[in-house]
Amino acid sequence: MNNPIISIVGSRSCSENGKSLARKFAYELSQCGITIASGLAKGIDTVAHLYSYKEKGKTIAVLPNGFNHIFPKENIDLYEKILDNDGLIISEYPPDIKAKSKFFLERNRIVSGLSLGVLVVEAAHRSGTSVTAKLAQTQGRKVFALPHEIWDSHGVGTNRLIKTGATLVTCVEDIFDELCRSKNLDSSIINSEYNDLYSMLPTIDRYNINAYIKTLQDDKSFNNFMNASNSLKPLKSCSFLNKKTLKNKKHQFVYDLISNNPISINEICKKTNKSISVVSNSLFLLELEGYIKKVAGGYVCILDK
Amino acid sequence: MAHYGVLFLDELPEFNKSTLEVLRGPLEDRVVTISRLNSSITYPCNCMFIASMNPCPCGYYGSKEKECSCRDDQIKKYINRISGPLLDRIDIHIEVEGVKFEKLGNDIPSESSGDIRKRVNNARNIQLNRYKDYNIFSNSELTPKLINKYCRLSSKGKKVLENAFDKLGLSARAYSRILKVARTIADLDSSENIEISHLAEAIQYRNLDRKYWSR
Repeated sequence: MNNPIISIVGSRSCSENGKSLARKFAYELSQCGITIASGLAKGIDTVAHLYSYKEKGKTIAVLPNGFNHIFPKENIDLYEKILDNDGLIISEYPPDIKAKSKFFLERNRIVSGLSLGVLVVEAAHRSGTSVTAKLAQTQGRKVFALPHEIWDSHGVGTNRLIKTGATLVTCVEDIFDELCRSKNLDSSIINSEYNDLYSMLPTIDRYNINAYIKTLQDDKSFNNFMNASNSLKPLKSCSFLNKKTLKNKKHQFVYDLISNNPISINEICKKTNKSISVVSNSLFLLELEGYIKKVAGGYVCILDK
Repeated sequence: MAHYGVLFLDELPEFNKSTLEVLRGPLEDRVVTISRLNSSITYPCNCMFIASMNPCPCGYYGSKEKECSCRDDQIKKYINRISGPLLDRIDIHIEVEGVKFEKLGNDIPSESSGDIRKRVNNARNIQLNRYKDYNIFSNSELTPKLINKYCRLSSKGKKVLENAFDKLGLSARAYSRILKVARTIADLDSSENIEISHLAEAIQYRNLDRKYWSR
């Protein structure tokens, strides 16, 4: 709770693409010492919790039910893991209350209220996620949304949020930039939480700001922070697919075709003009080495962290 | 009735669970025993068992064209109708994509059935020759003893298989099935030994063993 909090929200029935996006952001934000808040629901929420505590980050789960009735049941395991890893579980209901549909919406207001900003990973046309985003706006919180393809039914909500004024985010740095900018423009919403942004800065090692850390520690004024972030090196993490580099180049032709969206073995054969036995051999070895994994509908790559 | 024939069950999860479980015996022992009050008759039943199913009740889970409208627990329940022990007795599970309308009538050159028949016959002949002293016809009928004899792996192959079991979460009962399938793939390749590529292909054909239906 002492660290700055960003909440990651998204649909329960999410795509593979959404999962890896949530994973990326949960991972990188926790690396920067940010606490991730979410709702312990299926889909994006689960991924966000999972990857924030895997990175030794702190995570907060806000429940729509009492502690004795965790919903969904699949996540009881996750619930215990969060507690084991010094996470926090919040519920505004007495322990014996079961989840009701209206509690989900009520829960969302706490998720958004806790945080500096809400990161919307995926949202369908009409969804609880969009409601959270709306609540966040009325609470004066920042709304960050990831852009999606126009055809993508998982991205209708996030694209609409961007249209109506949410901040388009493609990497973690965008979130920090926006938080700093908003502080500059609108000093009325300054609160102590924003000061924490400074304290977390030194932990972002890829920023290459060692030279600035000292000045920041000496003089925590906002201008210094802006100078620091202006002179950042071009950010490598902005490129979305940080695919691993293969040790064995023999399977590169297969690996090149595999991305965040599942691709089936038939498609790979068609695109490479190789026989199914050659391709399946490569796929198997790639999977064994941990480069790709099998999901329903085909293979997706495992991203480099 | 299906002795030396093919038993094909469409929409496997729609069958009664107890009906499916009854199949386990015949698939393993290749005989059917029917017991009545005053007699018990055993029929031979050496058949090829083929079944098809959807990935979920609506049929679109993992599909690119349409969103699946099933809940997680529905999908789980659907898949769970086929028990692990039954799955273990099926050698090959593969996932196929839906066919798009445009593709139905196209004429992309592919291997003709005649060519495939030649390859299969070739592999069959290799197996017939190999097992002529044992009164069996094909790899599928191999006993554990014969598996040890004819499905030898190189030390490298053993390591790959061991790795695969660790990382992909294959069930231990799948072990001999994988070896038999790998043996068959090697025969199709007219190869004396089981190479790693044969093994890899055989493991690829055990889709349902992997825990990919979970998150």
